[in-house]
Amino acid sequence: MGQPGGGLSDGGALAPAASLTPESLKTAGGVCHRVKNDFQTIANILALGSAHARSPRDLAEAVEGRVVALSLGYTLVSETGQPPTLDRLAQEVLRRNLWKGPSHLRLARRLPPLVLSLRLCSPLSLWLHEIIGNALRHGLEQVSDPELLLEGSLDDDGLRLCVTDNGAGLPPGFALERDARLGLRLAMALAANDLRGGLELEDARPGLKATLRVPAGELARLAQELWW
Amino acid sequence: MVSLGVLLVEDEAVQALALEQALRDLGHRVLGLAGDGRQACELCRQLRPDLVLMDIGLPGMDGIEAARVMSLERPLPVVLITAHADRRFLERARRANVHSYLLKPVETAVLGPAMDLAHHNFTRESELRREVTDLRESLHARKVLARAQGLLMDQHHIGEQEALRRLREMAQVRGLELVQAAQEVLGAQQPLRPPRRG
Repeated sequence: MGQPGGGLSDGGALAPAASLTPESLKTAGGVCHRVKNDFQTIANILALGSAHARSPRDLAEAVEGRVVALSLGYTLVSETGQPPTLDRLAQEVLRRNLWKGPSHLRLARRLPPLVLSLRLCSPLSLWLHEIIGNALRHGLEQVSDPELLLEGSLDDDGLRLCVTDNGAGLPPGFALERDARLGLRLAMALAANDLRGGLELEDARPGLKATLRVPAGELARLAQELWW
Repeated sequence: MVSLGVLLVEDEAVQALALEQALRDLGHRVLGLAGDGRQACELCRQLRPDLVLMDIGLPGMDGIEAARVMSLERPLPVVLITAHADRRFLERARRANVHSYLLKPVETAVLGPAMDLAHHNFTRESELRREVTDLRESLHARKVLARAQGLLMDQHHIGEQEALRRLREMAQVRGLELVQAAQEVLGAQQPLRPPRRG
């Protein structure tokens, strides 16, 4: 008796249907691997959120934004059928975060034409989500003429990605390692662990400039994993 | 539960932060965080942690190979975490002296007892290893003594007790342990004369 997507072999065990080629099974395996990784990341985001949240509402907000950020790469691929670019991803992260900031925000993007692999897209999306979210929610809250600039460069040294605002900047005496809360800690860890680079925060007078650096070798390594 | 100094080895940022949080919640101290196998071995040398909690899938040298290198340099409890319940990984993990193997996602309620047991079993293993070494040395000493006694008995046509008495006398006169005196007898293979009396 036939089964959708499978059939019974002579021994009675379920066997893959003839229509599933080794290539399609390999692709399905790859997709499942990514789904599994993303579910694990979501479980970890929930665990981290619940350790830091003061209320269920806090927790929901902390988790929802990050899960959406994690999904953006897939959303863009499913919409266009193409691997996303850094600029398109940044645009999408901005669109999903703008409600947190002032309504009269001036935005500018000057990003290099970088096509993103899956291994680059997820950490970059989360990094942008944390940094842009912080700028909109904390940095630009009280600013009369708020501005946010996303710029970057791609050269022999690798990728440099900067998010600059003209807001309040860091509190006096702020030390990244000591005072960073969950969002900044995540951004630091993503830069150091997933992207093998670094995060710098500098006073932009006024405002704050957050710079992510991904070394060229690491960028090349992470760019290898295809989407399909 | 004992508070352990832990080296955490994980290349994925969100997973690393979640594990760091779980370790703190369990009352352990995170001494360092490494993102690949080579860095993990280097930090293990520098920080001398009580336990290593390490992902298998790491760039470059994987977690099992890193555990093998660490355990060759200084045996310590290693708990591996992985997304795959793969028999080949398990076989390699066994050979690398890994003490526990947890599947992702790792819940704090599972991590705590697994670490506690790994540390406890490692401590017990170390005690047993020391006992085995002591017993081996003692057995070796007995064998050396018996062979030296036999040699003396053959050479001098004396009894077992007399051979032992002569060995004791030799050790006393020359300021040696009994087993050292026996080794000298076997090494020299020369007739052992009874010490001269005054």
